[in-house]
Amino acid sequence: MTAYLLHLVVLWILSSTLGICFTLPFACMAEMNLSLIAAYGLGAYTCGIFLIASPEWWMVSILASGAVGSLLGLAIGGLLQRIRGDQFALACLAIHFLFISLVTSGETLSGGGRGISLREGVPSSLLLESPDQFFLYAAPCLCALLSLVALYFSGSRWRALCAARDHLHSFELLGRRPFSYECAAMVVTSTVAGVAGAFFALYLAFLAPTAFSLQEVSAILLIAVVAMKKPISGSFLAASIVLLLPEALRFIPLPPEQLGPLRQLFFGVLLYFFIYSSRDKVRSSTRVV
Amino acid sequence: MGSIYALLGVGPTLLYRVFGIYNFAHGAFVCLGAYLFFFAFSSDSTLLPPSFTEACTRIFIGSFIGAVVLVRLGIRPFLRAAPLACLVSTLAWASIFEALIVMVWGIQVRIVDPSFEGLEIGVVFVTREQMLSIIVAPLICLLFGWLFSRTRFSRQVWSVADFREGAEMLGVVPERILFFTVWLSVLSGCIAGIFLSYEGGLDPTLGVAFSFKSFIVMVLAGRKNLIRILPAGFFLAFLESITVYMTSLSGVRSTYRDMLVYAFLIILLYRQGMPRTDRQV
Repeated sequence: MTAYLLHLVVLWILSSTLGICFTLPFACMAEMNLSLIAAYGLGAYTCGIFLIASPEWWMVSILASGAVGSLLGLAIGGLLQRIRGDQFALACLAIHFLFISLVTSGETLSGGGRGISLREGVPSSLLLESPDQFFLYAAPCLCALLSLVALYFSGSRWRALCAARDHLHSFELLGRRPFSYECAAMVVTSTVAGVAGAFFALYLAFLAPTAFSLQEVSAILLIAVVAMKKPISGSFLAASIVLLLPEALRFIPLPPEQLGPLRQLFFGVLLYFFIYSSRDKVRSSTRVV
Repeated sequence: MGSIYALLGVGPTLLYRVFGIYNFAHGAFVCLGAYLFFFAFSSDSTLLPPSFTEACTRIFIGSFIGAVVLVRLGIRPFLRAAPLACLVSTLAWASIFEALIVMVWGIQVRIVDPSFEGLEIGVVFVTREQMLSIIVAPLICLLFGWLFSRTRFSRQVWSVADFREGAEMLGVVPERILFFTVWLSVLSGCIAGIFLSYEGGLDPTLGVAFSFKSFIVMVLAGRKNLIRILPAGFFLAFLESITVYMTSLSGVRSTYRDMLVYAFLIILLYRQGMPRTDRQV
């Protein structure tokens, strides 16, 4: 039971990290980066593939995951130059599916639909398979990164992003370029998502495309909708809701084939309930009513 | 496939033109249509086509209920909110519908009993169902194009979409018009689902993939143009076929065609652009 609870705590840390990375730009820019799970998955696969190829470069693999995440962030930031709002969300979702197709099709590197096991090529001492190892190495690193992200999205930068969202014209008249702020925000959050993906790969030691499915996007979306007003503390709280409520379904005596769709139904209903109750709080940078 | 893709694009284009929203639940209706048509309660993995009248009745009733749920819960409460809220709402409904389909009919992929009757044109053999989809799907697209461009109903729809208060003053009931538009959108998705199930079987998890393909057709056709949907559908199918052919020549897996399709959508969205001051409601 303790091992199960510790496993849940590890998942909670990872979900909270992703939640914060999604919610912060959403709260101040009113843009949904639905490709954050793709950055997370890319980070995980980069770390896994890198480690299998050269296990001695443990640290470099994590840095490479962050670099890949930041490159994706840069591409997403580039999209913001031309598209906004729901169009941007749609393009980000297309990037997510592009990533899923890539890892499903690329049999040689990513193992295709079967996935890749890190246990086959990487010494177990380099993996963080037990929660203790995760808490010792990954958790402090993620906490430090999250503190940096929180610091980045505070003070004048936060105000600038909110001003660019609400008063674009005045913002530009003051000689500021909203694009550079927004692009940097996407790069920062995607980098952290990439590093979180690397730790996820080291923790699970097995990577398959199903771990980065649309259901994960829905979960992050749910965190963002719940934590819209208080992005950091709210994300921690929302991540626990997203993790614990579906876990309760495990204790219902149901056949395993019914449990998956029931979980999905539960997520869908929760997402609808929260977006319905906070529909007036969702900001928009595109629509002028 | 081109004609089916065109039919797939009709529903999202209608909703985007009228409400200015992306309906992610469209793929779920495509699946729902296919399942309702074959009413796949049987445990057999190969399904036989049902009686036409019975299947049509089920499609009409199912799409009506789906439209009621979508309008009442998925769209109407979010019309005054930001478009992102409506996008999340339709994503949530896509998830709910997909989960319900899996719970009712099971996760396994079912194959529709293939017909061996057909026509041989040169080296190409076209089955009876394929001929039906080649003829019927474009006809339905043209019917929708005519309905939403040349009729009194179309004038009412566009007046409600563009100037609701004015339409109300002229005696149009916006709620009724909007509901019929959503119903027709759902119905077009359900019919596309029937043709798709003849091509690739019944798979409850294909909803989102089909949603994306319908969005590509919609964006390719200029987002609001029902007439251009037909060539857009054929272009997408051609693009997919050419990718499969090229990848088969180079010995690469044909699953890369999906990657190309998604990349194509991103490029299209980027090329067309939508700056923040463009949309005014």
